[in-house]
Amino acid sequence: MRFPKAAPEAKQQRKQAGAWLQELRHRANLSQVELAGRLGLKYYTFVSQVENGFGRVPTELMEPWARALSADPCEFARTLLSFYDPTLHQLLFERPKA
Amino acid sequence: MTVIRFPTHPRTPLGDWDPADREAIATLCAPYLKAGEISGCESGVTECGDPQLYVIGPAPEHDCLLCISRLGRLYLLEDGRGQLFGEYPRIAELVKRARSTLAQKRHFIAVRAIGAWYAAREFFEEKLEPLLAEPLELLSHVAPQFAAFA
Repeated sequence: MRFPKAAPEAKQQRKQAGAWLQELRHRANLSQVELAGRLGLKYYTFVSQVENGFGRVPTELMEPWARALSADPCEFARTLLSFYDPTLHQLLFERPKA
Repeated sequence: MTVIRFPTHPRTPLGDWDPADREAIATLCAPYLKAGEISGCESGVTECGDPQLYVIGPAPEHDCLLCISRLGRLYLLEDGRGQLFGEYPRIAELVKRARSTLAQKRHFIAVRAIGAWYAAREFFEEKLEPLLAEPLELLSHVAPQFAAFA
């Protein structure tokens, strides 16, 4: 049996977020297993899920995730918001020029 | 000394799903796909080469509802927010748990729909009925006179 695929455009933002997170992790010189360990996760599969563009970093994990990757938590959360909820990000941080 | 070689379980290559596993997951998803509660399934692989399968929710969000991973001979079931539902030695056990999780989500959606319907009804009764009551009363007074003229 073949599975129908999800609409690619709907996943695009999460894919970009995943690629960005993976790049940050590579820069921090961590493996998915090591990052999961620092986040206190029993298995590393959730890190893979997020980096593959399917899951989202939950709000409660944003700060430890950022710290594990040596990133500023505020900037980290703001960038993730721009991927996960671009409209809200625009309302909050991209003020129209007066 | 003789080393005895134990027969090993034939394993699929890294990143690949066993056809029987895929079939079990496809059977699990089929009714939800038909009902539009799932928009599809996608497969992926971890950095270590362990296969993953993502059950994707409906549009417009296309959220990951369930993530099934196979680490060696262990199957893991998680949601899209990293909540681990369980670890299973056999796919059949995972499918059983996944089915109940999807059914819970279905009930949750139904409860939300009922809640929304009651909220709409409440709004109609509170806000719109008083507005409609007056013209209706007026109409009931005027209608016989109009009928007499006709």
